Amino acid sequence: MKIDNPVTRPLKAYAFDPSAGRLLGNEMSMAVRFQELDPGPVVRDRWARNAIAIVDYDGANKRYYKPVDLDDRGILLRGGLNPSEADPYFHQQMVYAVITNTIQHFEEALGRRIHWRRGLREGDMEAAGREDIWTLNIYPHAFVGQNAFYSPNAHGILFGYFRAGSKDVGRNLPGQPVFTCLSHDVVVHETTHAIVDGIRAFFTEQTNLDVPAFHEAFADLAALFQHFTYQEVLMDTMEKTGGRLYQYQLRPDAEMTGYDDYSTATGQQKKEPLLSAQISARNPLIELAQQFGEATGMNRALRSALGTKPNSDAIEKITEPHARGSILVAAVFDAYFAIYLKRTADLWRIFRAGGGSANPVDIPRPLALRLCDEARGLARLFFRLCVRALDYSAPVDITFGSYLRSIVTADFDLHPEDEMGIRDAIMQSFRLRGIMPEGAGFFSDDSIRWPRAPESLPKVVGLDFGDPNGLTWGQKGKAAEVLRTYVNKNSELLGFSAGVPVLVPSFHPVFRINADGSLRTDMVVEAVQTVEKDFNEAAPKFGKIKFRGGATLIISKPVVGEPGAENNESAIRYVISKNLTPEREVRQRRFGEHLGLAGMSERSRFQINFSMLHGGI
Amino acid sequence: MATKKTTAKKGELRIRMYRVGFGDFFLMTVPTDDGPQHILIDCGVTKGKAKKGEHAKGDIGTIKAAVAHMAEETGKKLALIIVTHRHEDHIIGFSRAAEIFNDFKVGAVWMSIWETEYDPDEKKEKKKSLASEFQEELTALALGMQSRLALAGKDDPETDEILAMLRNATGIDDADLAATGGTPSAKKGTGGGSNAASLTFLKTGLNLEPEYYAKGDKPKIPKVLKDAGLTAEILGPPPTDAVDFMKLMDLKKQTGQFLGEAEDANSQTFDPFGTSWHAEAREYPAAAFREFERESKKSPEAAMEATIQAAQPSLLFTAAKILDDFLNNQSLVVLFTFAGKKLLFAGDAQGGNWEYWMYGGTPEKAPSADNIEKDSAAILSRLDFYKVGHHGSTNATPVTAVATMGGDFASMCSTQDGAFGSVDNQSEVPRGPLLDALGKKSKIVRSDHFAITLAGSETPAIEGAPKKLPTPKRGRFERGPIYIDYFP
Repeated sequence: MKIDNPVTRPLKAYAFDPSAGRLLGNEMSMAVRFQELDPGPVVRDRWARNAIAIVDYDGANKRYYKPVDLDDRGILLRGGLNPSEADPYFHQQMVYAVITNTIQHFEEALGRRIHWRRGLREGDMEAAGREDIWTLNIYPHAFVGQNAFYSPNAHGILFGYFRAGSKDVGRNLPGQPVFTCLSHDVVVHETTHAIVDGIRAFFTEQTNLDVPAFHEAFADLAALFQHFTYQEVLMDTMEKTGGRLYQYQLRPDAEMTGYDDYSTATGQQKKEPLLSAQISARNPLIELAQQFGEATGMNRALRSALGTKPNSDAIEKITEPHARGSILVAAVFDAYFAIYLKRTADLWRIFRAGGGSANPVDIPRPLALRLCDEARGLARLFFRLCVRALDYSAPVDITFGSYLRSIVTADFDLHPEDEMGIRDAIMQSFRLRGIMPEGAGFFSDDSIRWPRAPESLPKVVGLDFGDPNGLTWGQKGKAAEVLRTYVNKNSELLGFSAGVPVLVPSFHPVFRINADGSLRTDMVVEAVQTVEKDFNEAAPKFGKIKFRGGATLIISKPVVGEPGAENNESAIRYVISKNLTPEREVRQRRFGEHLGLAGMSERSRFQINFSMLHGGI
Repeated sequence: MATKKTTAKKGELRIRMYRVGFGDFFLMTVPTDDGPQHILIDCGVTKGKAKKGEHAKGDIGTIKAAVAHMAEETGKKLALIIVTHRHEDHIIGFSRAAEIFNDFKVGAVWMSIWETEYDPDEKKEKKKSLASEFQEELTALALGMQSRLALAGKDDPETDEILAMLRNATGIDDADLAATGGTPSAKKGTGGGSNAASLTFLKTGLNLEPEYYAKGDKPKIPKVLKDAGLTAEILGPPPTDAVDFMKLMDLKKQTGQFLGEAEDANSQTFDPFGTSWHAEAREYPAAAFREFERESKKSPEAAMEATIQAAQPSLLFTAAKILDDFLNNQSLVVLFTFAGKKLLFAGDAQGGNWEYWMYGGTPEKAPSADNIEKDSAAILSRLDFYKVGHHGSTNATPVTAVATMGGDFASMCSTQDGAFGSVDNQSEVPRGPLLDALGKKSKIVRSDHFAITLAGSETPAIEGAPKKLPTPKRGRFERGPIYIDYFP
């Protein structure tokens, strides 16, 4: 009698990184989707479009390290190897667990299976085919360096390792090996880059200042929201901040009394901790990659969730991608905390009515649990929103302003009533950081949302939406044909420029649950047209730019009983465009010039180079 | 020393480009009632990249002779010295030919705002300016990187290029660094002089206080030039900004990994786990290498290994480039007007510097500004003379600027082929497409296109140089023994 495979496989990982030691919840157990695995681990299913393979090849030492077999009885019975910095088997296990977990979160949020990068099918089809990533390779110890990056060229993610410095290295030993693959945040961050590259093929083209910053911000958001799923850490932080999760410092385990230390020289009372328990720690929930930051001598975490304060003009001054991305991250988290405070206000009222203080140092456990539930639920909601906003973004030229509009539209589509006030909170926090909705007429919910497609737009006939398991090859082929024909036949109605062919680089069905519990099926379609232009018409030898316009179409599957259902006529609900306009062309040219990309002709120069981006240079 | 004087008519403005190799050495002569008055704009040279054992092409060894010639021409009297920025190829001459410059009488010195030593708002306390702290950090960082690379002794084109850029920033010879284990003994450049010595001379050795300018400042033009009708507008650099300082600090942290504490400069690699963990490719399932089967059906593992080995980004190269750009963008950009002629000297200003005055801001402030500001467009569209930025590199004359330039003007480009960049990765300096584009708008003369005939400094023109000087639409070019003159 065959016993079914379990749904999940328990594996252990660091919630943050080794330097947090056994701080409550740092050594966590993750329930990762069960997959058949070969040693590596390498996902056995060669047809899985979201497969990964851990290949522990060290490019600096030019050698492999032994691959772990996660089906080994010793590992299975323990629920995964115990965390250990010195054991490469554990590194491989952790990287596999965290990446698989991240993929799961994205698939839940997106409502479909993800796939990795597809090469752009323009011009050389064979070269494009070679660029496709079917299995994402993960190299946990690829090189010596304080860096980790997603490399489309290497078909995967490379993690560096290095020796910590000799000074200002926080909780690391001077000179100790530090492995970026053991930083949960770094792994989630890099995986996010790979996932986004699979969702939006053109997002890595540097068409404006916000593009690299957006990638960094989005990857940081994914890592930060992940923190709120770690129950033990969440509870601990909740208790040590008295419910104020947005605080940077945690209350230490032991308070300083004022009798701790005296300076004899001046006779002044000095308050310095006597015990390590008196040292207050940083709030791990809102900080990223603490070990990495300390090991590289920054004396703090790499970045934090609330790096940019409201009423800041940073958006006008800051161009460096990480710093600029931090503005977007802070805007999202500001809104998150605003809703958290709003949603928990009643709990606090009840607490205070029961005799609790207005600014409590300690909070009772039941209250902490309820606050955690709220924090966790909201984090899930916000993460989902941020991810879904990608589907509501035009295929090209992402900006912070258009992303704002996409978030608002994504939320409206699911929660038209906005009972929680999320959209308002987001609009305010973005506005306070100078992020304006691109092209919106007024600063209001209905104006900031992308407008619905006109009713006069012809319906798409004969489109097969498949089912939640995805489209078969046959279904894909037919759907591609239907969509290609439709967009080219109606290109001008859709806002495209005449005379330039429209390609459909991707489409996928999305299955979502409406607020009323009913299932909705949409098809999200990218349609793009490209013209090649001289960098400068007066100087053709300066090379060319690929200037692209595109639209994301969101097509709804007709529900049985609705008009059009009998004839399989699907209405287009949204056409979210960035057309081939002179303003966009100028902006792209200026940015290219700003980057110093004139005068060279190879295509890749406009692509973001993640290795440089993450080198911080 | 016999000199052949060019046929300057009385009352003629003249711009002279001395041929020193890869560097700028310009002398502008303004006719006044008190006779011709001279403005010196930069005096430097750098040798550029060189393979081990090969001769670097940038420094053709003529700068001292050129300075001597200039001394005689001017009677060792200069109304004004303009120092655009502190790269070796713009300032080394002041210390390399110190014995000549020491006797000079100078009316005024203009330098970039980034050379300010003390905070102008804290004159009483003499507080160090942000700019001078920045310069110290930058030079220290460049020296650190240069020492490390010089000690490592690597021999590849990329290292050569990085060392060349760093040498330009510090003005110190890396052979010297390598020989002394990282601490420059004489702190000198090859051929003598150093950036530090030149700066000291310019700031304190001339018995006058330099003026430090940024865009928007009203320059104090020496009276004799002002009375003759010369005006000047400062177009760059942008004012100093704490953001730049932060960027430099970030860069310093990132390059820290390359400047590390390891004794052996060559071995950054180490075995993190020990020999018991070593394995072979065959211990992995075939599926692990499937992604590389399209690359190499026969040996996907080898294809993967090669890719990973080559994948580590060249952060050091980019860091050096950024350092280089920091300095270039500090360039003082001056527009002179004389008798209705507009003469633009852009130093080595790169994109950020140009953007500030062309668009009224950088992309984050004015991302969709397609219109160059009216004033800037007016300047560019009606030029009479353009000193080609950064020896003809692509990014030192933005494409938009080239497109806007007009007026059938004349250009001069002081450069030396083969000193920096390469045609293979389309980074050669001077850049072919840029000069072609400029050539459509102006008549250009390159310094390496004419031979030096001055006794003792004879140097041929580079291969393929045109035989004759071009004829500009207005004014004329004339050849001298070690220079080219332009009379607007």
